Amino acid sequence: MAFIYKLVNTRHRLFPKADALFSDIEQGKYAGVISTFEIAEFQSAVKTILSEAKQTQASQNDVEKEMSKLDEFLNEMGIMLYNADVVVDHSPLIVFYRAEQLISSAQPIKGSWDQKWHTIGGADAVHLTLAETVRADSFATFDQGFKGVKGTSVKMLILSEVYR
Amino acid sequence: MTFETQSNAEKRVRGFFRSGHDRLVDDNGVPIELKDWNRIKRMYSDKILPISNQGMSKVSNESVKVLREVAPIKKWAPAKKGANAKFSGVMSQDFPEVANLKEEQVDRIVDSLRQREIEE
Repeated sequence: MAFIYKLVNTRHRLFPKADALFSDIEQGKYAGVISTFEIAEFQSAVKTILSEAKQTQASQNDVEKEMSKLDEFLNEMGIMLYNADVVVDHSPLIVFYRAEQLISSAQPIKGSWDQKWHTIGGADAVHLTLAETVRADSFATFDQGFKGVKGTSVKMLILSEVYR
Repeated sequence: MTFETQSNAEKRVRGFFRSGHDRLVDDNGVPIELKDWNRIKRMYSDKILPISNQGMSKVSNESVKVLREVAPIKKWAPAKKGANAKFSGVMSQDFPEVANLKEEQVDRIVDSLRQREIEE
């Protein structure tokens, strides 16, 4: 969720790391890729953040305003967008079967900051399968659980470690 | 219907890998890599049906399918200069209340989406 840390608040401790990732994308070090599944998660986070900040149900207009900002951001940054439905439909059997394989082979990882154990979850594995299907080189994440993923050609870009 | 010889089939399968556009997957949708060449040969046996619009047809216990490359709905483009800085903390600019959220509140919301470790 680097997009959340980038767009919500510049004072958050993870903002500088998310900002550094997008700066690298702007400079052409990476070609950014996102799927509509990630955008759905972003919308979920935006609804909760706005509701919590305003202490009332977020209006659809407010949510759409921020979704438009994300859309503008993707456009101006030249980030590629894949329709997750098309990717899944393209190969009907692969996504959930592959997600199960990734979870089966993943090793739990003890977090270096919170000293708790982390393993990728179902949605994480689906994101990774989408990344594999569109042949992404790397998967950018703050989630330490991805360090335990085995048997994939996608390299884990753990942002807390890449940008110190 | 004519069958291809194994050597022709092999040439064509190798062509898929060279093309860099399409991929091969097995019945379970798992990608087949060129390093799995012996497996590919077993799957094709000495008889292989011609390519159809649906991809290669089943030849024995296993089949190989051609997976067409998925096209993005937004293609990559060079970023506009200054784009990254322009959008920093944009949600707090639109809604000042968001700037007052504590880090822990944002962390909890993100955590509810992913089982992410919270960096202290």
